[in-house]
Amino acid sequence: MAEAYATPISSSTEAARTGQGFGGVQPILSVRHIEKVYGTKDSITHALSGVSFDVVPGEFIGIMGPSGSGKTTLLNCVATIDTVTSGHILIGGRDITNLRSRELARFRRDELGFIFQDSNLLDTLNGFENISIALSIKGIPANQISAKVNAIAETLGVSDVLKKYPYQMSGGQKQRIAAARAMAADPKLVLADEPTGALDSRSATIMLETMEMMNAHLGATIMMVTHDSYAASFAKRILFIKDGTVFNEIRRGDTSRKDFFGRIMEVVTFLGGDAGDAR
Amino acid sequence: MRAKLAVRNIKRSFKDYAIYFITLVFGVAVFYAFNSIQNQSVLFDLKDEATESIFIMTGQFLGIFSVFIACVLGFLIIYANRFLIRRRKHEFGIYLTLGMKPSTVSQIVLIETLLVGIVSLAIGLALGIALSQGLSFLTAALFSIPMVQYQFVFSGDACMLTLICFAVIYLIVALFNTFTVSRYKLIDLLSARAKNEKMKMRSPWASLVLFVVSVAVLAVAYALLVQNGLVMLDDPKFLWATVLMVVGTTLFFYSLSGFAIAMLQRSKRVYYKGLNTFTVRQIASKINTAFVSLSVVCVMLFFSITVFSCGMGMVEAFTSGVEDGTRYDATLTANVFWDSQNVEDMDPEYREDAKRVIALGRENDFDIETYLASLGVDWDAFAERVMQLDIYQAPDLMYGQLVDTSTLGLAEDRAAMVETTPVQIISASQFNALREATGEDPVDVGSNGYVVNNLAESGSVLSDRLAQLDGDVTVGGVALESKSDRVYAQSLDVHSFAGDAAQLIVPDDVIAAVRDQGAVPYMSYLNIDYKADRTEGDTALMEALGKALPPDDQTARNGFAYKSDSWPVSMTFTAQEVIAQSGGMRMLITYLALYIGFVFLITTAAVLAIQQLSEASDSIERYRLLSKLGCDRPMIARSLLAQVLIYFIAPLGLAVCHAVCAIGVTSTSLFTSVGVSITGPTLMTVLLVVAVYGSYLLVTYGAARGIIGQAIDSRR
Repeated sequence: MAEAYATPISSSTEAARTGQGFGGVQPILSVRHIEKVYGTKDSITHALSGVSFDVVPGEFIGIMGPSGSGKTTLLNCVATIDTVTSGHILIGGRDITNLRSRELARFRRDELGFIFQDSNLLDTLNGFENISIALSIKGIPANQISAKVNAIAETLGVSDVLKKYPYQMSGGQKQRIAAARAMAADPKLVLADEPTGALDSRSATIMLETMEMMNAHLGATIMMVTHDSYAASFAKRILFIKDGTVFNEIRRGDTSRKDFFGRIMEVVTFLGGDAGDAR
Repeated sequence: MRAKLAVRNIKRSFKDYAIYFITLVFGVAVFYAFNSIQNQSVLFDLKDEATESIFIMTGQFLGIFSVFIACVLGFLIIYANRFLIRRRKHEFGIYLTLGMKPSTVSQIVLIETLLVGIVSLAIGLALGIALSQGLSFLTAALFSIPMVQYQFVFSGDACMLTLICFAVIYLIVALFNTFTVSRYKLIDLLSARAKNEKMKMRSPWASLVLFVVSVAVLAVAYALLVQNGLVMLDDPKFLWATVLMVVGTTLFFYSLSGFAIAMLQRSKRVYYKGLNTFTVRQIASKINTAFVSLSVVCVMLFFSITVFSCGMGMVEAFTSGVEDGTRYDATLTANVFWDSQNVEDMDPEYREDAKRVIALGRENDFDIETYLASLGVDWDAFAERVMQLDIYQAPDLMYGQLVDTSTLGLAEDRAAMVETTPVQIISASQFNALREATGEDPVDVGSNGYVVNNLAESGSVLSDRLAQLDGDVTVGGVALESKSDRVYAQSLDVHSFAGDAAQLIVPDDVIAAVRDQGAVPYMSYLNIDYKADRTEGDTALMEALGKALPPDDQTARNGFAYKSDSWPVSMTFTAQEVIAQSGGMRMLITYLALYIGFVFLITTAAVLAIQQLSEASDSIERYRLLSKLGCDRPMIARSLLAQVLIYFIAPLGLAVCHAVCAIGVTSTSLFTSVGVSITGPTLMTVLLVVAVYGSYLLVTYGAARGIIGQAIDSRR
């Protein structure tokens, strides 16, 4: 395609360098000029105006942007919770913008994992059941469920809270149970919406390291929306959204997380300054 | 401004209010309609005072029960309000943070309550007036009298009563709400929503033990009920059965959830299938607090089912007896009752009176027809036929000497009573005269035989034994043998309920021999068939009796048209009266059963519906999450249906168990003795419950699905 849009690692050298993907790899997520318009004839808000990008398997992509930039709308559209006004979103090669509601539910169930800001665990279920319900919904046979739940809980370090109810857990524990729930059903793409927004810095670090581990060792493809530069520095690539369009894109490459954080801060400061000028 | 806010609040939460509102309207409508029944008498050509008095009696009875019904509806209204108010804590908190005075918030709630009350009262009254028009046709059918001319009936009394009752209820509720709201603290109001309900899980083993205990308690209650037979309601056994049933029911629901969940969790294949985990937890999270209301609902359902089916059974009893009880147009009964041989042993107070009556009877050969004719009754003027039937007690012969009464399948005390009851005998010629009059073949007992006549269901086994007796029965020195295995069922008089049981029809010579020994009739019936129709005949008979036996001051004051005595006439009973009475009883019982059964049913169903709907809207966030996780609509709908079904079916199931026990007991102790099968009433009850309770269930499910569906959609 001729038009310019943010792309994943496209050259084979870069793929070799980061140790993932190779030439001609199929993107797992392709967003093509999506637009989202809210409101009536009198007052139209363009939440998204022509966003395009690709995500390949095994990527950990961060979406950053100031409040109102449209980043959450973007996530909701990818999550099939919201619909786009125009444009296309392809996940695993399927265009989800023209699926019907019943197919959308099945699609979410089979292909996506979610981590929300406020962990969003079911308060009536204990830790174990909060993970197992995702498997049950997917129709995994009952006799495989226990093993799968225990395995993912072990990996994410939440084995000791499986018997507890959400009100008995700390914020970080809840969030990691939510991560386990997202991972348990083996989704193609994990969508995280401000996963550390409600956590203190220590819990946030543990959560982010968990996600980093999910990406590196469990091979999860993660798309994380955040406004927190520290959280974003755990990703490998960051898209900056501003006023409904992709404003900038930076990659971590071989640099340390600390250096990457510095680079993110530069962009954020620039974005913030820009916003300041506009005021 | 406040009123505006109140109106908007009601409109907004209409979905929560709808079922409550509809139930209120039904309650008011039924309340009015049944209280207006007394006024329906204007529709009918009431031939006599008896019928009119039945209308008045029905009205009074329904009035008494209305107090009870008002209490039940009051309970529903207070419960529902408490529920709806509690759910709005957060909203009130916002009003207060915005600077509204607590008294203003109370006023808004007051206006809301009164608005809903007034509107439901108005619509309910309108519906009630319409319903009462329909009821008058039902009255005509139950009473089996034609409606003279249909006209619109409006009962001012019933309207006033309804208005006053509900005004009082709403006033209490309004005060209650105002008080509740004014006591809220802002911090509690604002944190009400955020607070996570703590999952208190009971130990499954403790639950299992409690569950077993509850079942045992219920079993004891059932056993006590069976022993009591539901006949003597002041028996301590009945009291204990009631207490144990309530305790057992509460314990049952208290322990059920913990126990059931522990069992389900063990069965991984069920528990981890689809949304089952969620559904089970959803039910469990509320049943810990809902067990009280489930128990109340269960007991009320039980009451509703039992009252309705027993009522319908009694209606059948009244209906089935009418034909047998009206074989003749009228009966004059002489209750002599005295044993002539023991007159000297009697209480001095009655001795002289007994002597006088027996002397009078002997003087006239105990022939009532001739004696009354001698006093001026012109039988030919109005009577087609006059037939006397005397029932004697066989001297020194009791039923216990002929049959082992303990093997008759009767209750213990009753068997003991039958054992010492003297055998009743009737002369064959008098009996055959009645058979001829009713178009039956006469019986032939020869000179040393007998046949058995029985009308009461309770005497049927005894009668069969007597008819199949091998040995002889010696009466008045004559040995008699059974002439036929058949038990006859000849009506001996005009009656509402047949009381004549296991009487032996013996040769006339035997009666003569007994009389020679000095016996006097135990009881005499003088059956009369009129020449003209029954209304004219009744008038003529009463007029003649009044002239022949003029009432003294006291009997006249008691409403008798003639002087009642042990002989010749203790009382009169006419076919017309039987029909009016049975129609009246039918109407009274049908209406009571319908009234109580229906109100209880809608009240319980409404309580469950309100609970389920607010539960659904409290759980909106959970369903949203499930939807995000990829649950499709049908899957969520199935979970909702399962929850609603379990909440509706669990109390109904236990109530049906209770009712089967209670109705079973009533059926053996009461209905079989009057020869009524319980099948028909049971079917009617099932129909009523399925129709009313089922509708509430479906509406609740539909509304809950609507609430959740809309919530899921609103994010899209």
